[in-house]
Amino acid sequence: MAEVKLRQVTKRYDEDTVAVKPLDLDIKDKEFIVFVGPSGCGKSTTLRMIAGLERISDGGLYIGRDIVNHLAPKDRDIAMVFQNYALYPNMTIYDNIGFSLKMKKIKKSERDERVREAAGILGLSDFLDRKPASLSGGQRQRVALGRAMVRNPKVFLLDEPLSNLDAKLRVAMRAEIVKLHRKLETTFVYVTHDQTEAMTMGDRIAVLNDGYLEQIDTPFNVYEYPETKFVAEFIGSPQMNVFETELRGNTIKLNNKSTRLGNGVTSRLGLQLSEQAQTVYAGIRPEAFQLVDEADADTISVVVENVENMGRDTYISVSIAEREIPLIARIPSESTVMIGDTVQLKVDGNKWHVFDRQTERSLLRSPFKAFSQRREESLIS
Amino acid sequence: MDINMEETEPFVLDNEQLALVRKQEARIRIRKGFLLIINSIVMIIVLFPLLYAVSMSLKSASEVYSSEFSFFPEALQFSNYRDAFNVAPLGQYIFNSFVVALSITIGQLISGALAAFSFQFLESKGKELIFALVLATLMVPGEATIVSNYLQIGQWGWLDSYRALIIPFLTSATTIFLFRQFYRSFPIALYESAKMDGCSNIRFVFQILLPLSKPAIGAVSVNAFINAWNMYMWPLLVSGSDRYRTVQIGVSMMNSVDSQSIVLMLAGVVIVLVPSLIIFVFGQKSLVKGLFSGSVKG
Repeated sequence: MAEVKLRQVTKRYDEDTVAVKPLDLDIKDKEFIVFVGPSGCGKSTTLRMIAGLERISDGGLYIGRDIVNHLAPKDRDIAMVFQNYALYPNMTIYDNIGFSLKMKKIKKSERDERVREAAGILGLSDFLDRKPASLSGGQRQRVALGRAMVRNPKVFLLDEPLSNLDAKLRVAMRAEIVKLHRKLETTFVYVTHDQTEAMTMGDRIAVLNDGYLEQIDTPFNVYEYPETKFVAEFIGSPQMNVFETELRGNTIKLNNKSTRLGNGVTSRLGLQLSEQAQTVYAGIRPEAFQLVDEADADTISVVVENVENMGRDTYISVSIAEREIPLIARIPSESTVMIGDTVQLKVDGNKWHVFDRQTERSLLRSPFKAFSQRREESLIS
Repeated sequence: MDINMEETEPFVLDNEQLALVRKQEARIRIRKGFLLIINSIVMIIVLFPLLYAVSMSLKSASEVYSSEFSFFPEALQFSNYRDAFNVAPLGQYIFNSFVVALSITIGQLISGALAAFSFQFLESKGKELIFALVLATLMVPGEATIVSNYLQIGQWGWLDSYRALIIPFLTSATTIFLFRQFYRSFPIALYESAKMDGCSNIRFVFQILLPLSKPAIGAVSVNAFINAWNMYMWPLLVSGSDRYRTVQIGVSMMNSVDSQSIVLMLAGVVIVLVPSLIIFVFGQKSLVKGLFSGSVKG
């Protein structure tokens, strides 16, 4: 059992600097959870508190059934992979992988067996006599993983392990880590600022911002049903177009034109639809736009300011009345749109996101949350 | 596919371009030559006292006291070196100096590495204040404390012993500072990783930190050894017999014991210089690397 539970875990450096605000989090056994957020959001601090490298100011941290707040890192039965690999440059790969076992005074024969097994899994068997300096970035990262693996820890902590690798290697290592998680069947806690890593690797994603947990959910839900404006803007590339606008009845104002909200949105709206205009934050992802030839009631007419051809898709930037910075729309790469062209964009009314102007929380109920809530209610009754 | 298969003509400079390139090359050569001359002049000025001492040590006593100046000796008197060893127990003095300098160097390496480790890696309240106090001791000249140190050592009955020569210098603020400067650029993740692996602090220092601190060890060793080797005032005060006298004191006494033996003293000086020079020549790379570590991003 390697559940990790955080109960009101807080990190305070002094009266004014709170790096992690009271955080409640349940990480399930064998789960792959990803902490994602911008620099300084508290994701690494949270991981380091779990590791025992950072003192917990308040709250309780449980690994399995035990509270571990005051246990030394070595006694928590966890292993950590660092951003810069943290391999001992003066030791061979064999000694690097086996160092923790040596510290635990494990018999030489068993140590040898475990080191060679880990090296075999990670394809490092031929490099055991080498020093870290003679290995490539990807191989070094594998050694770092091996060093963690060999201890058979309850929990694996990974602190931005791929950020020092080049783009191609990163994709390959991403897949390797996911494979390793499946093979080891251990709880993984992974920190990254790269949303692609978060989306592709995690069973669940915890989005942090300014020391506060914005949302924790599956990658699909975080993308499709962001609970806050921050999550909506942070997850997705290019990011969601969010702007202040008017909601009136079942219409929303886009480029000074009322566009209809789809049933999929209105049925989930947590506020009464009123004919009186309400100011909200509206969000629409670039892929919710469609390039059409004819103008109609649901299209907006805009001038193209920039065209970015990404190969598979093309992103166009267009100005709208409600937004100071241009809005981004994704169109097929075959389109021959040029800068300066006036185009007609149709919005999928079911793809709108609506956020409260004050709290910046979503006004749309997640269909999955509503389902589980209904189920819970029915169980109680 | 349209591929241009035509052979490209080799690139050739025309006469005007060639002349320009030659002019640029000549300018670089002149600059280099000028710098070489300046460096040579500075080198002669810096090395002159040393070379002059070597030359004097090979002259006869009458030639040294002659009113005519000559840089090179008329006849090389290598016997001066042999006589220097005969007049005084120079071998014992050199041995004493080696024992003292080596012990001080090893002591400073161990104490400096451990103290700097605590300052850099361990968390404790007020450690920066304590570090500032350690550095502040650099501002107190040795002469200011020499009398009180002498009285203390005398009270303990340590006078005229290796203890008196070595123990007061087993740690130094400069060493701690040099080590800490080096540790500042040491990745903290290695320490954290070792901690997670269950490695104790002392094991981390000796098994991971020190093997990776060779530039700092080099800098500290050269600095500590040369300082200890060149110590004069303190050994003069606390060593009374030939048994514990260091070579610096022994050499200076050669002149006072026999006023005619200035050449012997100079021979002694040259002998004394040799270990310092050897250490500096072999250790200068480490010294410079260690002194400047952390000053620029590696």
